[in-house]
Amino acid sequence: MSVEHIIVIGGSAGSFPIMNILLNRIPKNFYPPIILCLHRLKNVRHGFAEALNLKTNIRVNEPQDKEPIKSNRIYLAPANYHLLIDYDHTFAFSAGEVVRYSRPSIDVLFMSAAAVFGDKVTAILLSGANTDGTDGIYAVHKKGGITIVQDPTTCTIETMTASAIKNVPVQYILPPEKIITTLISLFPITN
Amino acid sequence: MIDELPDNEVKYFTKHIKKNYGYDFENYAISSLKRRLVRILSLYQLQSLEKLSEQIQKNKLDIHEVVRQITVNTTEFFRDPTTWQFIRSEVLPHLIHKPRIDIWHTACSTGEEVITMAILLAEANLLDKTYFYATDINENVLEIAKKAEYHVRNWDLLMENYNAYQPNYPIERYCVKHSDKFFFHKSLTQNVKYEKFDLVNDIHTQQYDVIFCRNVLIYFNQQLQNEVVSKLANCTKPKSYLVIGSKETIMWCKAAERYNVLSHKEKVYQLK
Repeated sequence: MSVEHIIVIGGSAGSFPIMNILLNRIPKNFYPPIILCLHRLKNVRHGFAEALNLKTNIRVNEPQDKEPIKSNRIYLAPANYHLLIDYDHTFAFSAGEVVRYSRPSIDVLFMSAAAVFGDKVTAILLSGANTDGTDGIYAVHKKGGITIVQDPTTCTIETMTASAIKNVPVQYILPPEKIITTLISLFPITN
Repeated sequence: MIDELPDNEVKYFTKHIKKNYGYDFENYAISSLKRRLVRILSLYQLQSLEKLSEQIQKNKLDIHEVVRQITVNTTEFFRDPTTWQFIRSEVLPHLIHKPRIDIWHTACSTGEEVITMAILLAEANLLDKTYFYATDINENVLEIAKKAEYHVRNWDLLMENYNAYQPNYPIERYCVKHSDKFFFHKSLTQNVKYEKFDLVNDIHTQQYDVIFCRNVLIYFNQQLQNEVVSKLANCTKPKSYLVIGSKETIMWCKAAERYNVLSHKEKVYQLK
């Protein structure tokens, strides 16, 4: 079945435990693909996806270039590349300049998701120490997509979420446990 | 700031560039091409691709510089250290008995991977019989590659990667630091021929023992990847090697059937 709606999640410093809790609680038949962009160390090329895999009900992988996006999957942006969505619903990569000191950059992922999937995007921004993600959340908002930002008071470092909230009329500002319940109510499991 | 470019404007622009300057971006992967173009417009503070074409036409912007900005020139010494370890242990042993080794770096950018491979070959005592063909679509980056001198801001990354490749071995054996630059010994690059080469348009007939085409295919659409990988297969000696970038794959290409996968992880292929 073709992918109709995608969920993109961005996080930096302090987001890893939250991300793990979220992924842990995603039910195994959750339909929309989830694409994660986490700032992390460059030379840690392998092992990270595997580590996440242990705590999820859904298969997690780092995509290859041109891999088609599939439902009921979790994808992880690899280190040292920007991850983009292409118009034929495949993954694309760029080793281009860092954006807001970051590669992968949350802005790059979110903006390309908004360009390709329009209002069929849910973007979630978590704890972080820089301002990557603000332009991306703005792009998703502009296209009519759903925007969710972790409540800065629940963030280890609030710079990233505070910046997004200051600059974009974000739809949902939620503590971690509400992010997951909101996702499940937005995308109910049908079978 | 422009955050999105309409498809028809991009098509019109790439057609115009191809017709007037010969550079063919028509089969580049569209999402990342659009991103590059948006970045260029913001860099030159232009409102549209039409204005960009106009500036190039009036020679207010140099086409080679615009091409340099469209293409991605990011490269590192010993980028992906484990890939170089794999080349050292699995590829070099097959080159030892050859009377002459030919290597093609198909998109060498500022030359870091040419020097990386030269260091591997020097350490295996194979450098003297090796001939490199180092090419790039952009002449401006080739000029930097030819000098083999780099700004010290690249030093920490070189050290980090080289130490991951082989710890406790001084990289200073191969280069000299002087003020804000470091220079590699000329002996490393004495057999390198640097030349402009456009993987999309240009034809090449010589055959190689190892071809590097790392982080180039990601910028092409599937059709163009197919064409380029076939071209590279035609330039590879039997039982010889193709090395691509860590997130790239040739699995969608027709020419994939001509190769054996030596390492899925390190993206090293061997022609059958």
